[in-house]
Amino acid sequence: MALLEIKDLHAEVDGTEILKGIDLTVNAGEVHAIMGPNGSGKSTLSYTLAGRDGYEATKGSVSYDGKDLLDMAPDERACEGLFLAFQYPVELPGVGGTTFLKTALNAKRRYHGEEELDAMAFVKTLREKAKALGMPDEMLKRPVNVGFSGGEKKRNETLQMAVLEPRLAILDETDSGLDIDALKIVSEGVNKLRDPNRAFVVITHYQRLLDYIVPDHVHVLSRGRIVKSGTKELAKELEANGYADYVDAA
Amino acid sequence: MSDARTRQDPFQDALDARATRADAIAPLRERAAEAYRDAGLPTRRVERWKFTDLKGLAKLGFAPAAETPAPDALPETVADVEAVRLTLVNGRVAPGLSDLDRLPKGVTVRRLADVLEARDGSSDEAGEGASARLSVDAGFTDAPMAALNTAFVEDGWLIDIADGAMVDAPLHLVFLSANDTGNDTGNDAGNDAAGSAVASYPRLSLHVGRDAHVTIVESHVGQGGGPTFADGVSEIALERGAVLRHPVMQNEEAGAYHVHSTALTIAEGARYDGFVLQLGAALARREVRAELTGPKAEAHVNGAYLGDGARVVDNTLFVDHAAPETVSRETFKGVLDGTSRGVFQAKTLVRPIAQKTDGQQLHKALLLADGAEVDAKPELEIYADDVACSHGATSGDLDRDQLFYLRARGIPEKRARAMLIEAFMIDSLNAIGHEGAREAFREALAARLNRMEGIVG
Repeated sequence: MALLEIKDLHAEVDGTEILKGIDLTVNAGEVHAIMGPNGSGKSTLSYTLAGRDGYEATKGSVSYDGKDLLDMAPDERACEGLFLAFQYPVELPGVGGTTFLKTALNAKRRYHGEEELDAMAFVKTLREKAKALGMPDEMLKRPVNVGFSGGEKKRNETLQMAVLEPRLAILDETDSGLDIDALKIVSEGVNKLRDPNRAFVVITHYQRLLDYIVPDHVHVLSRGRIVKSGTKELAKELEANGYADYVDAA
Repeated sequence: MSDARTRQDPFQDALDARATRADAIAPLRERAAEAYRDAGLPTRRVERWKFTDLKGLAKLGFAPAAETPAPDALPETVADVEAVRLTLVNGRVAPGLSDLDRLPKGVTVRRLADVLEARDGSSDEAGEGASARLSVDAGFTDAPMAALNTAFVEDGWLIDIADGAMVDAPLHLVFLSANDTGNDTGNDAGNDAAGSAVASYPRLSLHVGRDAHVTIVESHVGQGGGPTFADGVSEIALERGAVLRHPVMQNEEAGAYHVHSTALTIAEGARYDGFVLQLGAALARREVRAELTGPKAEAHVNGAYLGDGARVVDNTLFVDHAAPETVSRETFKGVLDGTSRGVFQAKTLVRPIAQKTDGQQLHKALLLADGAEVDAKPELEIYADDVACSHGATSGDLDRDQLFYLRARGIPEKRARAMLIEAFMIDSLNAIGHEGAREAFREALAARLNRMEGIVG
């Protein structure tokens, strides 16, 4: 059974149809890249899957691990193992990083009927995972994303992913605003999490990220539809020729 | 006095019925009683009471203020702070709940009741009479509730901090409103009083001597579940160079009426560092009046409050800049749910002499439900030409992007909202200069948020 099965998904934002019939199947262990020009519907797809208010699926279905994803609240989706790494991570003044992650992890554990984590044990694990991403302890105490650089915010997203251990991670333009060093650190963090039981959907405008997170499948999204699918070679071709062909074709 | 007015104002009746007390402040009581009779229970027609209506008080019956035996223990709503505790139960000193035997060096504490008994009023063992320390209305104008306290006050604290004292251990003043009507143990005489409110008139007179530093925490809490009315007055003087940290928490029970007037005089170079956290009561009005009487005096009157159900939470401030280079800071944050209402009235007066005044007022409210309301009225009245003053007020709902971000990490909506509300409030708690109090207030806020109903708008 596929981990994620999207069939003929249509979605609206403010009454305007942005997704116009997406079909996509993602199996556990796979990395799929979705590439497309600005305005093709990349972020709408990620927000619709994550359940953001105002992103309304009007037609089609999304099955996740055999369950109707669109029927779940955003927090249920997350507890079921869906993770969206935000293109623009949100600043949370007054919410400390450690508290935030502990609350999130314990919410997930409670959802699955597991006991809450011991605070000491949690902090120890968190520090190890942060260290691997080059994040000092001090950053974990600060309010989430407040005053972080673009690179620090993306590292923080990657840390959250490492802690929450999702089954399906959607990376929404994780490369935007990153210099090459930050890109390498974040990609390494993602690659460490690659696992036969886990899948990734990497949404990006540029091929560059895919040099570091190498996909099994590449899809081209244009005007709300997937207009072409192929291997990682397709990404290289897009890098060389641009999206013009696909925009015209769609 | 018409019958109609008598029916609407139980305090007029109580004043008429009270026995004359020949104590140290008898003349003061008479003047206070007159002041109250002239004004009556404030109505919304009075500008300063425009947003807060006390008529609910008039509907309560009041039990005669009987001696309440002090409870064995204080409720959990009291701030959990390591301190020297001084407790008033329904306005009367509870020695068993007070650490009178371990007062820090430089701190003198007297029971107001003892001082009042020194009938001539001219002197007591400390050489200072109660009448010199108390006033009719603590300097407030149009202040019938403060006058009412003076008319009825029976006990309280007179606290003196010696010149130059650096008091490390904070004092913790606990004001308990107790009404155990739900647990009547066959007290036949008071049976018809079951369900009526217990009124109390706690009083504090505090002098902080020259260059003295002290932290005084307050917890205003309730016990017993029956309706209560606490009408408190604090008169506080900071001498030259004194520093008073004064975190106050109002966490009374749901049936409580809480009115408290605090009058401050702040001398040259002294700094008042106050914080008011209001979490409870059916209706709470805390009024602060600060007079900056000497150059470079500072008044920091910050606070936070939380309303749900149909609560009314009122913070009314008046800062009088009467000397040059004085500073005032008033930042309040409120969270309102249900059909609760928040009131923030702040007036800053800058007199002609008060050049180089630095005054700021800011009120921020989170409105979680359509029925919730906030009335914010920040006001500056400036008669000096070289000043830096500002004021502002904002209100809005929780940030949707932040809410989604938390939920996208698996945190259920109710918990996510509580986290964001706490976060909104928490940075204001950073204004509390005493770490132990800050931590205790933070815990009380978190506990209160967990109990808050209908948090999901």
